[in-house]
Amino acid sequence: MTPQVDRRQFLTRAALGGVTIVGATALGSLAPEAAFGAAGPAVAPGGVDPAFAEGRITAIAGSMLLTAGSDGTLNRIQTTSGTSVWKLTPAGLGDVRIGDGLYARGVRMPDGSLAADALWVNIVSLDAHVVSLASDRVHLDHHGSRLVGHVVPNVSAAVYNGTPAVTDLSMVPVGGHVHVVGAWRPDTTEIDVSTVYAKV
Amino acid sequence: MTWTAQAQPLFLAGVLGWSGLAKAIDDDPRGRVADTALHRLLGGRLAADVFVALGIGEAVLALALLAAPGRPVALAAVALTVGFLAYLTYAAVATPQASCGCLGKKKVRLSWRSFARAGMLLAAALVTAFGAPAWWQSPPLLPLFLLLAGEAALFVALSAELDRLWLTPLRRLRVRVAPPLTGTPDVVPLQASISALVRSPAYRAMSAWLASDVLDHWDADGWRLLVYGVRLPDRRATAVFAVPLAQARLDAIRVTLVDEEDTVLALP
Repeated sequence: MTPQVDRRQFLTRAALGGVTIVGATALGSLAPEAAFGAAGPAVAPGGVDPAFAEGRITAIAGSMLLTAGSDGTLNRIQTTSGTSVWKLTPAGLGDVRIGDGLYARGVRMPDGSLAADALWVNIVSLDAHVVSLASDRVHLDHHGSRLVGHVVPNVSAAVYNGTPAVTDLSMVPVGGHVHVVGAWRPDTTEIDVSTVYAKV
Repeated sequence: MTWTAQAQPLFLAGVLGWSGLAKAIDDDPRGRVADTALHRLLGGRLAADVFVALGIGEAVLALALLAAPGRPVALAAVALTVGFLAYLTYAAVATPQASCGCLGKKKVRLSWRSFARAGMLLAAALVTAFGAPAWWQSPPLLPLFLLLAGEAALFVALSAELDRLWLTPLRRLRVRVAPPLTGTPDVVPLQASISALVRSPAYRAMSAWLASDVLDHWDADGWRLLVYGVRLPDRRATAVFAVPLAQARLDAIRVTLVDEEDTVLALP
C-alpha cells in the first residue's frame, strides 16, 4: 500500500468518524472571528500585496519557481508539500512547466521569496460568447477574438442557471453568453475548460 | 451579358442605401464610433459627425445610382469604395482590435471578410463605371433577379455583423440535430462538490483558517473527500471535508482537522 493510499484511508476514517479524536483543541478559539480579527499584513490602497505573486515561470529549481510578472517583477516562489497546485484540476509540482503562467498566494519570507500556500497555474476566467460546439471542444468569441475551449472528459463541467455542476456540456447555448474558467495552453488561443457557467 | 452590368447599380444602391440610412438615422452616433478605427483616426466628436455625414452621402449616392446610373455617379461609387478599402487598411494597421463600424449596430473585429466585402463593392462600382445600359432598359428579369439575390447572399455571408441572423441559427440547428457533446459519463464533477462545499456551514466555520486550495481529493463510500491546508495560530494542519456525492443538505457536509502529527483535532 502506497503512503498516499495509506494517508487517504486515514483521512477518510478521520473525516467519516472512524477515528477517535485524540487531541482536544488546546489551540485557543478556532472560531472564524478569531481568524478574521487577526491583524493581516497592511496593504496600502493601490500598493503591492506581498502575499501575492503572478507571472510566467522562467525557471524551476527543485521546489523553487522563478517567475517574471506582467509588470516586470521577478519573484521566487517556494513550494512545499503543503502547497496546493491547480492546473485544470488539483495537481502536483511535477505538472508545472517553464512557460506556464501562475497566480500564487502565500507568505512573504524575509529573503524576499514567497512561501506559496496555493498556486493556480494557467488559470483563466473570462466572459465569452459561444460560437459553436464540436465533438470535443467549444468555440468561443472573447471580445472579437476566437478561442478554442477543449472539453476534457470527466473534468470539464457546466453550471446551468446556477444549479450544481454536471459533466454534460451539450446544453451550452450556441450564440449565448457564458463565463468560462479554464486552463490556458501557453502561447496559444486555446484553453482546457474547467467550468462553463451558462444560462439556458 | 450587359444585363450583369445593369444589375450592379441596383446592388450598390441596395447596399449603400441600407448602410447609409442606418448611419444617418442612428440615435447614438458617438456610441457607434466609440470603439471603431474612425474614432482613432478623427477623434470622438469629429468621428461622430463624419459618421453621420458619410451615411447621408451613401444614401444620396444610392438614390443617384437608381435614378442616374451614369459614369459620373459610378466614378463617385468607385471613389467611395476605394476609400472604404483605404480606411480598412488603416484600421487593420492602426487599430487591429477595433471594429470598423461599417454596417449594423453590432461591433465586430476586422477580418478578411471585411476586405472581401469592400472588394466586392469596388468590383461592382468598377463594372458600373465601365458603362452599361441603365437598369430599366429591358434587362432579362429572372436572371437579373437571381444575380442580385446571389450578390446579396454573398454580401451577407461576408458581413460578420449579420452572422447572428443566419450563421448562429444554422449552428444552433446543427447542434440540435446532431448534439456534439452528449454521451459524457455520469460522474459528479469536482466543481459540483466544491460549489456545495463553499456554501456549507462546515466550510464557513473553517474558511478563515484555510491557507490553500484543494490539496487532494478522492471518493470513498459515497463521499468525496477534499483536503485543504490550514494555518492555525500555532501550527499547520489539514482540513478534511467530506461532501456527499449524492445531492444532499449542505449541513451534511463534514469537516475534520488533522495536524502534522496526525492528531485528529476536535472542532469548536
